[in-house]
Amino acid sequence: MRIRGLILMLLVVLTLSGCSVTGEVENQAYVLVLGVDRVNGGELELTARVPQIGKGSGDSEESGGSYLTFSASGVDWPRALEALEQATPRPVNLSHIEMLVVSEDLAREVDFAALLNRIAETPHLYTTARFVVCEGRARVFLQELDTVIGTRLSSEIDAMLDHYAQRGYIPRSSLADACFAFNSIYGDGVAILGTVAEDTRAAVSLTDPGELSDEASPMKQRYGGAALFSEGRMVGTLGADRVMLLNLLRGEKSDLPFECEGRHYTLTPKGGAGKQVTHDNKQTILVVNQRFTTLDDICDEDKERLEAEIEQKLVEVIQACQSLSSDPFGFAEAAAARFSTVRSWLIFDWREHYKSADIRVNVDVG
Amino acid sequence: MKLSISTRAARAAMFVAVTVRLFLGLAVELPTTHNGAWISALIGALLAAPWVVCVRYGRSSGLVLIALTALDAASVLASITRSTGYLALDRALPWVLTVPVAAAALWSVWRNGDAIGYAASIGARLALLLLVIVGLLQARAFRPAWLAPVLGSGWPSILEGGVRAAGWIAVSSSTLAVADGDDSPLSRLIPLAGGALAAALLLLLSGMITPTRLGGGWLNRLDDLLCNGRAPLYTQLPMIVVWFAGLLHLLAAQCFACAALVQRTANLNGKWIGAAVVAAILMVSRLPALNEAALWIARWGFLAAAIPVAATALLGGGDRKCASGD
Repeated sequence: MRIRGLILMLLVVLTLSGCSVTGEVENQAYVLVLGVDRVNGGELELTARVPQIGKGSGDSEESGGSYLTFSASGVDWPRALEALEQATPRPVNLSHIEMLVVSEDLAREVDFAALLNRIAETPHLYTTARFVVCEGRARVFLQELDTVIGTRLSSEIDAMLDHYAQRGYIPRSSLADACFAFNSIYGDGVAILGTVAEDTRAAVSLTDPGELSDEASPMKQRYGGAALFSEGRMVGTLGADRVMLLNLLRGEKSDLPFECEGRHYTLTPKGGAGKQVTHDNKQTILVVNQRFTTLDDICDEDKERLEAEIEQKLVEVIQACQSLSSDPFGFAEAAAARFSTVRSWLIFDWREHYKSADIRVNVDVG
Repeated sequence: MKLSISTRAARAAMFVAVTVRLFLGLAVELPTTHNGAWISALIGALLAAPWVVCVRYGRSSGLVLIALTALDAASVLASITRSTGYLALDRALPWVLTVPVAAAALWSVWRNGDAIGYAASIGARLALLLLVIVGLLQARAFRPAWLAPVLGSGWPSILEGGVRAAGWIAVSSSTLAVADGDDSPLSRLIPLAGGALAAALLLLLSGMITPTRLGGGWLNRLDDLLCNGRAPLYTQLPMIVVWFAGLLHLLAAQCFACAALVQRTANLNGKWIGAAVVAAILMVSRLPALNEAALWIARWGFLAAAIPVAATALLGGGDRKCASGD
């Protein structure tokens, strides 16, 4: 009985789906970063950065680094992907994508959400990949990646973007986040904004890509700012100086460095941003109650000035997004709580109410 | 070989089967109720409670249960194939993914009912431990605000989901119909209530990890479930273990119940019946028409399962006599 059972188990093992010869790690083209552009009057161009497994670190200028770049185009996503398979000498594997880069022109197209959904639904595509919108062509953006992709499967990209998000220069945004936001009944998604600067000094500057800095960095890419979306398409941007406030309103709990009348303060958010949506005589009101603590010495007079300054900045950020009809903050979630069914929520037409809503921000620095 | 299961093992198998089937049905296959899915699960349990208390083997109810359980098992097997296809490292043919699962189910049936029931009992404890760990690790990713609007698609949809849930409960509880001995109504209702509550809790948790969406395909929903792109990657492995172990327990319980019901009708060797039943389920799981059959079960399954059981109860327990050989 035991022997028969053992034989049966061995036979079953033969049918298991393991790694075939083409499934070996060395034989796969693991795409770490995928760029998507619109070219040739409508075709989708895919650019993939693929590591050469077995080679060393990727800084060699001569060999073009240990990363290969493949590009291919097709009339739509499946055909472009098929063309990429043909252009790549090994099976294209999308399960390790760390970053999806989309050109701004493409992100602004009316049916961009449909394309992004199509991308996210690709079997084995890793949807935790960071979602970046770049000014200019994604292909050019990807070609500048050599210096930041490490020898391990792109842990450098993760570390770099985590660092920028922690500092408040970029929002935390993944492909899954964007797709959920585009398809969900709540607010709108955001993406990380990327640029290729003219030179490495310009890349260091956070507030203005044209502004040259004395600091040095080996990379030309500049990650700073957020791409804003409304109804699944990009409608505008927020500069890196405002993303910190955007992150705060989205519930991030990172420290907020703030300058008021020449003095620098480090503010620690206490709890998440208390977002509420109320209605007064048919007028929608967006309410934010945010408390901060600080270890810096601050007198009562300065405290009031600081609170007023932060309140003003928060109102400006919300107004900027309102004017674009984009709700990346999650006010919609707070508003939806008043409705019992999805249907009644959709009939309410949140976007129209949001655009003309009043804003009340209360900041308390303790 | 006689296919048998003790009442205790049947209750354990039923608890896991009900939990997994409700979650699979309401969150992945037909998530039309949106945020109201957890209410549908509880309504389904209320609707199915009399059925669960009354169900016994009988010729009329047995034949209906065999057909419904086999079809639903085929549907579950097809779901497992899609899941494994999604997660497989290599591009693999559906048969290559399906046959090992069917072989595992057959092996479980051959180990008999108690092995299936007690394995489910151990599996449930391990799953609870893993889910607590996963829940703690991705606690920051949960967003309670996404549970609004609380009624999802509204009461009509919730009630429709409740009827579907009752059908899934009926086909997942058929092990009770072949359990040895008699047990009290309360001891049958406890695993039903436990399974429905566990499914409702899982549905609430999944609602907090993915927002209500009006689009999205099957793969998207599976991706939401296993690695939703928001939670840490390291929670993916325990989620996959819980997901596949749960589906395997469900499939094994359904295959066993089906085979045991056939044996009580045809009185043949359990090994041959088990092999034939699993082979039939395997074949049906690859039929293109299965999707429509699964939809039919979702819509009418409860009614189809309830009518013969109700008729038996109303006619004075005639089917119960069948069970004792009359």
